[in-house]
Amino acid sequence: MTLLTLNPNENEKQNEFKSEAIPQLNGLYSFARHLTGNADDADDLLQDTFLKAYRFWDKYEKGTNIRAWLFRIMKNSYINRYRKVTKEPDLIDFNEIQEFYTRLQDTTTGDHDLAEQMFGGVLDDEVAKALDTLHPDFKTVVILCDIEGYTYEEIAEFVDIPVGTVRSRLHRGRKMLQSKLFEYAKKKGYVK
Amino acid sequence: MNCSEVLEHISSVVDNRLGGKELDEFYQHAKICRRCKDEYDLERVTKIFLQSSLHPFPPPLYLEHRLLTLIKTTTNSGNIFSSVFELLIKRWYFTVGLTTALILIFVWTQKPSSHSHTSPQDNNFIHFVYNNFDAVQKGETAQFTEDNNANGFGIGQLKDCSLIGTCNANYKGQQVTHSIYKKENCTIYCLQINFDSIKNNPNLTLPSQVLDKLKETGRYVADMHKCCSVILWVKDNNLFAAAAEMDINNLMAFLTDAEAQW
Repeated sequence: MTLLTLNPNENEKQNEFKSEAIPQLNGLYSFARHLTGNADDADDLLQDTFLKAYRFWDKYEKGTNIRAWLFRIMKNSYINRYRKVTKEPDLIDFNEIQEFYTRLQDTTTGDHDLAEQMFGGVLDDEVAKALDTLHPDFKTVVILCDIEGYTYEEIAEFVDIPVGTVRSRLHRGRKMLQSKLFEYAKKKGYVK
Repeated sequence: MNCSEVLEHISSVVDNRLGGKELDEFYQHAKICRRCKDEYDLERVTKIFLQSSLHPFPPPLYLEHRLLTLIKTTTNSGNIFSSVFELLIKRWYFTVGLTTALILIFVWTQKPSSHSHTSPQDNNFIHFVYNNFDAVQKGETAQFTEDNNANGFGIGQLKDCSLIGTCNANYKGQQVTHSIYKKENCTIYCLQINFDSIKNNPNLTLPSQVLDKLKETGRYVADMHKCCSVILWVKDNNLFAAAAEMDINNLMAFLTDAEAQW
């Protein structure tokens, strides 16, 4: 059998890709996992992302933010491939949440205790499900900020939007999540 | 700060991004505006709950290796092939499904294969029938449709079959009339020869048991090949033969109307 040998340029490309793109695997996988909501789709999305990145490696400007470049490819791949027809979740009237919160304030101390009281009965799976109801634009910023811990500036670069838009999307995204989680908590009887 | 400015900055405060004078103004407003304070508190609590419920996922150990393999494959095999390869290895269930579907399509679309009936080129009349049938099955039928003068086949039209063509030919000094009929996709090859010319001809013979059977019952069914039938019969001192890739009963059903002697 004759083994294929790579030309020097291809070899260099592979080495560059391996040293620059592959180290971003951890952050990208976690993002993909939260974005898609399951391991199989996350695997596929990650592979799509890296293969596209490799094919268009010559379009990547060396020395710029590789992670942001890869995140953008991933987000676009996700939107093209996995976008579901989503409508914004029906929001529970904020007054209802506020009223419940006011009652809790009198009996609880500390944010963690309060969070537990507000949504304590909601399972992690349900939190993921609630996250999945968000439009990708809101879901992306919430995942990147609250779960992956990126700064507003990093998110702005990843998603290619102004920092002010990151802030407003975060506010709206969290509010929608809050409403969804409150709804789950109510269904489970934790909120009366 | 008014309510709308405060709402605009809630996320920044929750994420510790606001400082100095702006932060002071935010808190001053929150002290006097219950709704804004609650919005801020609830967003903070939501973030805390989200962080306690969902955590970053580490990638599976195999992923890096698989990615590197895919990239090498892409490099080596070019875009179209690599895309297919990627699909095949990423979606094993797709591969299994596709293979199964292709096999099923292949099986379903295969009509029973036309097998060879080639027999020795000797004096045996039955071998002669099989060899001619083989040639007809291979499409060597031009002479049947070109010979317009040949209409002497003694059995006439076969039931429910269409006549494709007839021709006369001399074989080993004997006049033989050949005809081809079609029934759907099936070809029926028939021929006619003077029976005496076989009985007394060393160049064109029938095995003795066939001759005996013909003399005794007027017909003989050959069973050399499982997938096709050859039948011989005698009428008015003519020997007729019919060959087709079908069950003997089906073949006889087509011949019934033509040959009242059955």
